[in-house]
Amino acid sequence: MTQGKYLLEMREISKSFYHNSVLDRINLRVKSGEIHGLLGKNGAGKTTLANILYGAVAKDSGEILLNGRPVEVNTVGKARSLGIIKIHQELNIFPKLTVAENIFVNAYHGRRLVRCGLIHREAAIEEALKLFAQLHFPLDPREKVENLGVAQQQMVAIARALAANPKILILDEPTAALSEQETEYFLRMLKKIQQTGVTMLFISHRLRELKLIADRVTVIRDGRDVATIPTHALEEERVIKLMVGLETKNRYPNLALPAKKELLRLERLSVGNILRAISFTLHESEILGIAGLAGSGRTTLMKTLFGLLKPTSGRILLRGREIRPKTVRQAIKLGFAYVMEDRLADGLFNNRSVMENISSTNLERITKGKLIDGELEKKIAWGLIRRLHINVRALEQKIQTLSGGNQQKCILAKWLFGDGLVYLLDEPTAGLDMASKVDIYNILNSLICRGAGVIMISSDLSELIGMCHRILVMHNGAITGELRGDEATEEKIIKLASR
Amino acid sequence: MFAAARQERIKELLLKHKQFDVASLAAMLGVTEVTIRRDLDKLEKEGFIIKTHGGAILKEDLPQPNLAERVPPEVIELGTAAALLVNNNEAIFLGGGLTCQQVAANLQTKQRLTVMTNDLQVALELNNALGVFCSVTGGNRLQGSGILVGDLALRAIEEVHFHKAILSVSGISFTSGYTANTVEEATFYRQLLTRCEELIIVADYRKFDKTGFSRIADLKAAQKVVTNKEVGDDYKEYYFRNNIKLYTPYEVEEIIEPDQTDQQQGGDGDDAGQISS
Repeated sequence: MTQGKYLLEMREISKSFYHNSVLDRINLRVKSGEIHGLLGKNGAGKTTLANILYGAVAKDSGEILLNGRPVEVNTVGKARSLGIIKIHQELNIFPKLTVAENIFVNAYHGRRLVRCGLIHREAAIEEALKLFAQLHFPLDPREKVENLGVAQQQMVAIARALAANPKILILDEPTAALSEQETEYFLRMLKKIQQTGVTMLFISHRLRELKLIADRVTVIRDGRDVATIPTHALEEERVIKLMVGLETKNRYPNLALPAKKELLRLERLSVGNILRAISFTLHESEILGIAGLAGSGRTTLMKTLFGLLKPTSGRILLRGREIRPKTVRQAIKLGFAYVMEDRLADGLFNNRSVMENISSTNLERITKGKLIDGELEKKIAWGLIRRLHINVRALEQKIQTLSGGNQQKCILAKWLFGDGLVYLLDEPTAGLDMASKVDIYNILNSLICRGAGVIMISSDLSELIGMCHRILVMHNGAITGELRGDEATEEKIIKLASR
Repeated sequence: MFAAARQERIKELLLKHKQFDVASLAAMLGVTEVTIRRDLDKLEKEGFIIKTHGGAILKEDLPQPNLAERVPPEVIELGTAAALLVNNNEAIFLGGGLTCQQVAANLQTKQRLTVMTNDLQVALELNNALGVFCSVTGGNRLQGSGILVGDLALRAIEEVHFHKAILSVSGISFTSGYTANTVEEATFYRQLLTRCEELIIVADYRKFDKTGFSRIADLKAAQKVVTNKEVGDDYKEYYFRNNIKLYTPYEVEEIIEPDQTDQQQGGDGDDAGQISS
């Protein structure tokens, strides 16, 4: 390729977290002055790639070239000095400060605006007005940011980035929180910014908006670039195929066990406005999937069943008997097991040993008199480690030193140690490498083989379709549809989840 | 689920140590004492042990089975797991060898199932299965086993069609695929693959990274693979990437029925969220 043709080139970039390969020799070429779309499903590696470019994540291998010259972007500071600025999914703005103060809050590009450690208010407002005139932003620099709408706050964040005179602006899902109207408005603004000569990398999983805004789009899947297409040649069907890849539901080791008795029934269960009249049944030996966007009430549902939240109305029946788990302890006694979404935040005692984590759910079983029987605790912990094939050197090893897959197995081990009847799993395979995923699926199979029921939340739709016997789709706290595993498709679920 | 495998393990321990107490067995196998007691009940009924207070001792006068001939636990669990993939009303082919015999042993309760096999031992296993219609290929018997191969075996599958073929193999590796120990077996199984809709490979983890004498097929030829959880991560990843279902059984405790736990639950005065009806 000719030198200077591309402003930015990322060549053969690879990145693994633990053994989980997130980026696999991915390539990205961005022309000067273009808005370059980066399109892919959740978990395809878009954000990791952007973070590497932004210096927030270190790459394992590959190289980055700016104007044809290799650069080392190993810190955020380095990226900024090279003119690479990223606007985060979370905006990092200060609601109590004015628009102008927010824009010039970073001393490095507003040094002349700072006097005695304070932002010089009038000078900042003047600068902001100049910037807004240039960008045609209809914003009042004196306004407090908390009084602005989301789209306007977004613009504040962008104005702040532009005040630093960036060469490349990275926008990571900037429209995620915007309404349709706001999005349209926001995209028009970006087009105007583009005319000032800024090159943009626009990350999105929405094809429609990329068609409106981008000049070219790179589609990535499973950490690899699969195609770079000029926007005028974007065909929806083809792009979706590129994003989704081959039909993958055949790789999930699902088990169809004969129909069994009802295990759990929910009758019009509500929690305030968050969960509205949820009714469904779960059978023995069944895996029930729950799909829905973040905020759809999926996690609230799990928490309510586990006694963490109190229902305001409705009934829960376990094997035909009404139950009202008021505390976690009661829920566990009734046979509920809960594997939370963020295992490091909730599920594990991070700086405790593997053994302490495993035995924490059922101390009664290893207690003799008033003391924990250390020998018995050890024996049982090793038994579980062997049975789940967890890669552990010693029981005293701190849990945080294990890989994600092994940590997740420890959590499952701790629930196998108890006597679970209904397993509530929130994103059980998120962030795990493939081999660990396969392990988790097979552990689920073993649970249903012994008659337990599993309710599984997952954002990985192919996993839900591949593993679950039925899938409930939630939206705004209510169930909007139910699909059998063999009739479900990603398209059908997405429709039900976003209507 | 894998009570059978656990009981085998208990037998092994007792053969070695002659006697054992319930608490130690429970701890070693990572299950509750209730589960162990149930296992011991079963082993006593089989006449293998005599239960004592808090434990069990080996029945010494019993003709002790030769350890070498007994089926290893990792193969036993594969039999249970693979049988879950077989449905009623199907026509399947079940290959030869110890692992396939274990699969056969777990097909006893299936209904209207047609099984063809090229192993006399497999056919024997299915002798008392009332819901299973069993036919044998014919052919030349491989020395030292009940496996039938050769022209007559090949002719038997000329005009049949199977929903599934369940085969065990001698070796599985990235470089040579699925392999058998003899050319005759490989030839027969290769032909069989053209007669079935789905290939299920059942092989314990020791068969991986091994190569037999004669090649049957590429790794991608199978739609499902049943093995032990100890198999290497590289294979787990490979099969997942290539849209092949990999089943590895895990041993988890059986659920204790609620009537048995009612007493324990009421024990500490906590109503456990239960509402009496």
